[in-house]
Order: sequence, then structure tokens, then C-alpha cells
Amino acid sequence: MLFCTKPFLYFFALIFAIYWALPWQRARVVVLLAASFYFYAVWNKWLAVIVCVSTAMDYLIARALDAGDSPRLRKGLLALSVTANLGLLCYFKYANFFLRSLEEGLSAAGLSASLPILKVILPLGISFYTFEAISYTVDVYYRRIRAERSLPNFMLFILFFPHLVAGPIVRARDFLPQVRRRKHWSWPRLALGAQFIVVGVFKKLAVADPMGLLAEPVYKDPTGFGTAALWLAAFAYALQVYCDFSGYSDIALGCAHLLGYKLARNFDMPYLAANLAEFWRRWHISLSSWIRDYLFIPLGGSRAGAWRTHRNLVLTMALAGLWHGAAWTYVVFGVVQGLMLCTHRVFRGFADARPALGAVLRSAPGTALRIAATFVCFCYSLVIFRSTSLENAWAMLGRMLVPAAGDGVTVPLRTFWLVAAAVALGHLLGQPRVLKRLGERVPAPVQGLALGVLLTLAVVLAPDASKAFVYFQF
Amino acid sequence: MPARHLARTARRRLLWLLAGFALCQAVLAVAIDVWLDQVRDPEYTAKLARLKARLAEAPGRPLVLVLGTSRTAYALDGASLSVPAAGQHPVVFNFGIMGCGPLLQLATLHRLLDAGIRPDLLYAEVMPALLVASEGRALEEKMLDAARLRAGEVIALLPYYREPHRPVFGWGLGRLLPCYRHPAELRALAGLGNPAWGGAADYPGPLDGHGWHPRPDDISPEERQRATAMALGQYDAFCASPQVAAEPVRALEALLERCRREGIPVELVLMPEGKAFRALYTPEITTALKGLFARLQERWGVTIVNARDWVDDAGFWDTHHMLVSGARQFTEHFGREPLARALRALSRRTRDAEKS
Repeated sequence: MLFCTKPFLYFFALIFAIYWALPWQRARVVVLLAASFYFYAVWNKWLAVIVCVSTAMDYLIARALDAGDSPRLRKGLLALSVTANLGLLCYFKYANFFLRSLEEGLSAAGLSASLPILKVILPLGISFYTFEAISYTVDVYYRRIRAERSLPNFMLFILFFPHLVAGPIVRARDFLPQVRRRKHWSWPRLALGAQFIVVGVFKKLAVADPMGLLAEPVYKDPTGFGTAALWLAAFAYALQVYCDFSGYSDIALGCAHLLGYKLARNFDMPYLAANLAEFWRRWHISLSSWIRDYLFIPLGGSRAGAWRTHRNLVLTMALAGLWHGAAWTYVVFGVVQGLMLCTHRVFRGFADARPALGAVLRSAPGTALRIAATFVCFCYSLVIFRSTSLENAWAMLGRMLVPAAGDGVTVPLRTFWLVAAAVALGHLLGQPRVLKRLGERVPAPVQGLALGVLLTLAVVLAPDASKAFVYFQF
Repeated sequence: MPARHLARTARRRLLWLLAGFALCQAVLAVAIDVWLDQVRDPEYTAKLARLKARLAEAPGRPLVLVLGTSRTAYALDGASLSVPAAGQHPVVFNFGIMGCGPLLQLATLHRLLDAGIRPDLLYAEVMPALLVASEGRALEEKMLDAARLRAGEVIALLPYYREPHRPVFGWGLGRLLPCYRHPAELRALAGLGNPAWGGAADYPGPLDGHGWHPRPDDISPEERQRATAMALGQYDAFCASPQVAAEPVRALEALLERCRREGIPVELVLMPEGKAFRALYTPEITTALKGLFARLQERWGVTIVNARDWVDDAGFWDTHHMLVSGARQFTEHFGREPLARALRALSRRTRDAEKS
């Protein structure tokens, strides 16, 4: 059930009506839980059962962790939870990837091996809820939070349908207190939710999907296209993936607001980042912060010298890349991001030691240049992420740098420029400072009318065959 | 800011969001119904634009207009007939429209006359399957998307519907959410997509300057078999129906009546069909249709061009829509016989008029 479809609209309208008609908070939790289970089971009921079982297991382990005093027992329980969650993730998502890679490695070494291919379906959103469950048990282990006593509350934390399949990755300390709190009808929250939903729908239907139509044929066969078309496709994909994922997050945030819940913001105008470190603080914030808190810092973070910091950066980014999908393109993308972060770190040290250079870079033209450079670097490296194979990625990256003749894109260029202008405008208006000022100064009728026009535009500009969200595959 | 004020502002914002969306729909609905023909009915607009261009190129030449369904749209190469013949140098234009039975043909003729386009000779396709009723309704009543019509056209066509609430409902639904009903056309209007009609899209294929959709002959036997099975399945119930429906016949007669009033000579055409399609008709409906055509000839003095067996089976891709080879066969026959005869009659009438 996709967010931007009629079945979801009917589903959500029904749940919304039942939810607010019920006067009891516990009953509302049960309704949301049942709705979340149904939302997942519509896609695959057996996998929905697996998610529920693994969630119940995490609940029990966390209760035992909370109650237990023996360090060995607690360590064992934590290891059990992490192993079980990662085991499920590896089995469903990475087993075939590892087997295939092993087979290719063996055959490259001159050994012939025929390893089995497992027939498994990748459960929707497994990467997201696995990380939520792990962060929960780790937090309980370190006694940052108490284990949740109510099973329905805990299950709702993992299964809450707005964030279930593509995040944002929520933290127990943010979400569980909200589940316990009685919800009251709030017009401001409702208006905010509707605003998030309209903006999200616009991003998905009017920006991401048309840009997907432009990028898809180019990425399918990059050798058939000229350099200009390749750059255009690279930029188009950058717009697509941002608007697709942030659009999904916006709709998730909006739906949650309509039900009285607040999820963390997942994007903060990433294409206005002036360097790559800042970019990753603005992009998929819930994943970046998870990686930072549960991987980068435990590995030593940036406190143990330059070499280990760089190693940690590359390692965590490589794992973040692998988190996105079971393919070498994702791993290489992650490694490249890690290396670019290291380069930025070195350059920042270099610039800090030269105040004149630092001043130039911090000036308005210097900042604009840094924003443009960060954007182009990200788009260029994103080619690896989107390509269907490393061979295609190298071919495309090479042809982007060395002028090559070939076909142009099939989608009218005007569409691309309009979409790019809309995203740029969205970035400028979407900054919290500007947004706050707009909210205060622009009269409510103008704001409402603008959103109405945006919704109309979203429906008009959506391609005839709208696609699933890109991040569903992760 | 006090909570009550915040709530009031939020409520107003929400209401204005809904109002904004509703206003957009209302503005679009009015614009589409009154001005934006290319959004409401891009197929008609694409053909009209080409027709106007042909007439502008050849002022004073007689216009031979062929109205009809997709069968006509794929069948008649008007350009090859727009040459001097029988003392005339006509502009032959194929105004075949997908699913265009008697109701839409009537609306189309009214539109053309309102636009100042008066054909000197009119051919109107009669597709038998569109004249019979199945499950209580004529096929066109089910097929015709009322959202492509103006409000006034829907009202004018209501007497020709057995269930008049259906077109009203269809039209209303289209105008209620025009952004949802016409997104591709609106994108094309804004230059953000391919032309909504007559472009290189798969369906219905490119449209030539004389209104013809040439469908290339490169069809595999499997594809032909699949398309034929689909066509036969689609029309089976209608060709086996025992009775002629009164409503489409009334619409056809209204067209004949308008032509008589305007002094436009008109002929009816039974388009070619493959053997498999012809075999669908039961003896009962064949007899009923024969009776109907005899009545029409008697009452309106209209000529009926029976072209049902003019094209070999190889000329169709689905036993009733023609490939380019079939279209050439049909066009040549059409030009040689009925058109030449009608043009001669037209020449005679012109001469008589000049003399008098």
C-alpha cells in the first residue's frame, strides 16, 4: 500500500476517523497496532508475522536486560538481541549477496564453486525496523532508557505504519513517551500534518517521479547517451532520490502528526550544505545520527587520532552504503563518501591554518561555491549508488568527464529546469528561519491556498504510472 | 500566542487548503469546459487543427469529411484521395475518432458546424455493433466518456441515452476533479509532456495531416491472434444481440436530419470487417440491421456504402482495424467507387447551381 495511492487514502481516512472517535488511549494504541499490522500484512502476511515475532523477542530481551544485574547475563542478552536482529537482516537481505560474492571470488581465484541461491523475499523496511530494535536494546543495556512494560506500546514503536517501511528511524526515547501520553485533538498539529502531507505528495508525484522518467533510461544504458545527457541524468537522479525519500518522510511525519505523534525530521535542506560533513548531517538525519551514535562513536569516533578517525569514517560510511542494499555499488558508494569526508576533514584543517583562505571560503561567494561544489560532488558520486553495476557506473563516470557523443534525454528539458527551480525554491523557503517568518507573516488564507495549488500541481504533474518509493527497496 | 488563537489560525489554514484545492478544481473545470478543448478532448482538437490547416492550404476546394470510429481512423488515407477526380479537387479528411458512434458523431458534426466548417460531402460510418443493445444499453452509451463533452453537449445528447444519469455522472466526475481526470492533457498544455494526442505514443499511434492513423504492417502472428481474440471477445455480445437499440438510431437520424437542414449530402458507410468478425453476427441481428438500413434509405434517401468485404483478412490486425496495407486497399476502392460517384454528383449539383 503506497502512500500516494487511493487505497492508502481510504485506509488512512478510516483509521483517522476510528482513532479520534475512540476516547481511550489504550484502545487507540490497539487500533494503531492493528492498522499497522494490516498495513504490512497487505503486502505479505507471513513477513508481518515474522516482524511481530522478532519485535516480541526484543521486548522480552529488553525486559530481562532491565531487570537483570549480572553483567555477563546482560551482555549475553544484548548479544542475543543484536545477533538475532542482524541475523534476520543478513538472511533476508544479504545472504544471496554474500553467497554470490563468495562464488565470484572463488571463481576469480580459479576455483569453481556453485553455491545455492536462496529464494527469499526481502521484507519491506527490514533495514529500518532492525536498526530501531537494535538501538532500543542497546539503550536499555546502557540504561539510557527503561524497558517498556507494555507489549502493545513497544510493538507500536516498531510497527507504527507511517514509519514502518521507510523510516524515519525512530528512537525509543522519543517515541515511547508519546505512546503513553493521552492524545488530544489539536488543530495546529492537524494543520501541520496536512502541510507535511501536501508537500510530501508534491515532492513525490511532481518532482521525484518525473525525474525518475528522465534518469531511468540513461542509467539503464549509459553508453548510449552523450555527456550532457549523462550529467542531466545524474542531477535528475539527485533530485529524484531527495524528493522521493524526503517526500516519503514528509508524508510519514504528516500522517503521524494527524494521529498525534511527532517523528523526527529526516532531511534539512541537504542541497544547501556547504560541505560533505554538513551534507550528511542534513541528509537522512535519522540514519546518519544512528550510525554516528551506534557505530562511529563506539568505534572511537574522532577522538583517537587522525588515522583512526579516517578509518572510522570510511568504515561507517561503507556500512551505511551496505545498509542501503546488497550490492557492491552501495558499498563502493559508501567508501567513496567516507573518502570524501576524509578529504574534507584534511582540507578543513588546511583552511583553518590559513585564515585568509578561510575568510574567502566563508564569504557569500565562497559559500555559494562550496554549496555548488558539494552538490556536484554528491551528484557525481551518486552515479555509483544508482548504477545497476559497477561496470555501468565506471562507464558513466568516465563519459561524464570525457566529452562523448550519444543520445539526448527523452523528457522535455523544460520539465527538468522547472523541477530544479522548484527544488531550489523549496530549499530556500524551507529553511526553519524563513519558514517561521513565512508562517508568521503570510496570512492563513494565502498559505492554505498555496497548499491547495501545490496539491493540484502534484496530481497534474504526476506521471501516469506512478512508482513505488525508492527507499522501499532498502 | 494564546492557544485559542493558534487553533483558530490552524483551522483557517486547513479550511483554506481545502478551499484552495476546491477553487483550483472549479477554475480548471470551467476553463476545461468552456475554453480548453485540447484538454477536454485532445483527439478532436488534434484532428480539427489538421483539418483547419488543410482547408487553409486549399481555400475553395470541396471538403469531403469522413466521420467514424477507430475503424475509419485507421482505414482512410485522405491525403491520397485529395487529388483531382471526377471534375473536383477535394480535400478528403479522415475524422475517425476512437469509439465515435452515432452520439459522438452527432456532437462532432455540431462542433464542426459551430466552428464554421461545413463539409460539402459527408460520410458517416455506421458500426453495426454500436447500433444494438446488450444488457439494456447500447455500446456507445457505455464507452463514451462524457468528460470529453461540454456541459451543453451532454444536455443535447441526453435524449439519446437510455440511462441519462450516466453521462451526467461521468461529466460531473470529470469536472469535479479535473486535475485527476486530465493530468496528461494539462501537462501537454503546459509544454511539460508529449502531445496528448497524435504523438508518437504507442496508442493510437501517429496521426497524419489528413487525420489518418497509419498502423504499420509489422505485426507478428501471435500479436494478431491476441488482438483478434480480444476484439471478438469485446464485440461478441453486441453482435449476437437480437435487437437494434432505439437511442443510437435516433442519434443517427438526428445527424441525417441536421445534414438535410444544412444541405450537406451524406452517405453511410459500413466499414470492412474480417471474416471472423463478420461471423459474429447472428442471422437475427443481420435481418434486423438490414431492415434498419432499408428504413433509413427509404426515409432519408441516404446511400449506404457496404464495404464490409472490401479488404482481405491480411489487411487487419485484429479482424476489424486496418493495417497500412488494408487501409491502402480500402482507400483505393473507396476513391474509385463511392467517392468518385459522389464527386460526380457534387459536380452536377455545382453546375446546376451555377446555371440557376
